[in-house]
Amino acid sequence: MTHAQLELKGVSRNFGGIKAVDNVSFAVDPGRITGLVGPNGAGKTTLFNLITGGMRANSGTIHFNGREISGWAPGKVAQAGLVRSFQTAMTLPELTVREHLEQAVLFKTAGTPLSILSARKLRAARDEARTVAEDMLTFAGLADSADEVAASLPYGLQKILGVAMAIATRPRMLLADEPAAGLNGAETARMETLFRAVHNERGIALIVIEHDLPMVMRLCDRIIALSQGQLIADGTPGAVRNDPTFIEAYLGSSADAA
Amino acid sequence: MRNYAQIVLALVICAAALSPFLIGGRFTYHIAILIGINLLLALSLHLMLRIGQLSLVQAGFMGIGAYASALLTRDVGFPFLLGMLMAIAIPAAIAFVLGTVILKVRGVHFALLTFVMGEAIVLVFVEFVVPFGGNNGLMRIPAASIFGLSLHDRPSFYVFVLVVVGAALLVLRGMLHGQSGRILDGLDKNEALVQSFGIDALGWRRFVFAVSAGIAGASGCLYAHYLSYISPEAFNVITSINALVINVVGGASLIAGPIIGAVLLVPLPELFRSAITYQQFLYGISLLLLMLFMPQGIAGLLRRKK
Repeated sequence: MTHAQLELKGVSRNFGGIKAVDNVSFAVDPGRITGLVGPNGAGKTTLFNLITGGMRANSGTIHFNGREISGWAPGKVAQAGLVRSFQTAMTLPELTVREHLEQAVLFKTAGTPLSILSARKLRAARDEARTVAEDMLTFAGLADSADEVAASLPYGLQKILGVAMAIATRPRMLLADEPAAGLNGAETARMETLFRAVHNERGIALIVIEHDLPMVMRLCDRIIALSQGQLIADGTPGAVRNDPTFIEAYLGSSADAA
Repeated sequence: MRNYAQIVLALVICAAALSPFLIGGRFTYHIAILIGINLLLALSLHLMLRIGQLSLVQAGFMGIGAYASALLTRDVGFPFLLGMLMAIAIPAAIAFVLGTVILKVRGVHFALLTFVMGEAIVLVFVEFVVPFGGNNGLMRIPAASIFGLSLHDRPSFYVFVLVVVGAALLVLRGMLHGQSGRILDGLDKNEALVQSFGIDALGWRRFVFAVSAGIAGASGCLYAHYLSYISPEAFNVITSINALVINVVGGASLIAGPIIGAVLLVPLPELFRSAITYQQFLYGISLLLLMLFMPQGIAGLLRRKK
């Protein structure tokens, strides 16, 4: 009997002859911050896509909170409380920051067409969305840009908005895909603070894909390393940092280049 | 400013809708009824365009509605309104079921897939002589009547067409505005993002496809009972393309678009029967100019200044 929040067993995905994700198994306990690292093309984003339903695994099973979610559509996975943020900033045209946060809540409520047929329910959902958006504006430090069109914000703020929208749906676990990619030092620090708050104040478990190793080592209590689709190291940041396989696959190659 | 333009536009459309009663004459009503029927088909396609899926099977759904209502009223003895209900429900149900599979296909592939489906539906009407009458189609389709009130004369049938178009517009408004509109717009603009918050993308798309097929079916029902004769070729892909042209010319990003498009384009072939040689040519030239200089269609002009 396991009590893991997220559990992958022998998950594989091929693209033609390439094994993008190759027999990956791990379990994540509730409420942890886990880092998922590895060189470009290691299969990290593919793994996120497999977990959150954008893509189907060729083999293996994925369980979330004890339920098998393998093969579920992305919307259904999100409804179960497992959400993701994206590697690039994603916004909807013309909507302001506040509207984005409200819509994130409303999209969660209106998962299926039937769910917003009742005007009373929709009104209640709108009230809730306003409250949650207000809360998230403060929580993510976006209050100053609340009424600006999201697509016009600096890239870093757009990515913070991306995480804030995911949190607005009140998930139990957030998979963040390269939250610091494209961000400057100050923005990265801000993102790190936000993640700590998400974890400490909201009790949301995190799995973070990140190339900024210092940040990920500071933030996470566990690191899982992938290379060429395979899990090559798994442990505390200290242990993984000193793991020879990890150094060869990741740091070694960049040290050679440097 | 935009609200002002919208009010003016709404008034112009209402005036246009009522103008046949002032002008009078069988031909005027004939054109007005044809506009209404074509507008319904264009509105059904409009819904699909708004979720970014160009469906060329809409005329096929129109045909299913036409044949369903024609056969059920003529041979089974259904009253007209019940026939119409079936003309809406049957294509909607077919779209709902097929949508599960085909809506996962996107872009050009979806257009091609629905193109083939449209042709397949027409072939079914052609090949299955019983009950569809093959290439000869179906004749002596009873005229529309509701609760014993005959809609045989053109003015009263036109009133009924207006009621159906009005109902369809209310349905479209309900779906394309408000929260549902935000969701459909999100599905079109950034599906991965809206899905990541819990939107059942396939569920919403299937819902839109089913409603759109139902509206196309209603159009087919009106067509069948108005002309009292239907044949398969009326529902081929060219008819779907015409609905697309109506949307593009009018403007495919606003509900007003297909209305403007239908009012302008449907009467053209009827009015220029005498100039038939040049009709296609002029039609082609004007479409070309329109797409070059008004890529958002005529309704797009309302949006320009913002």
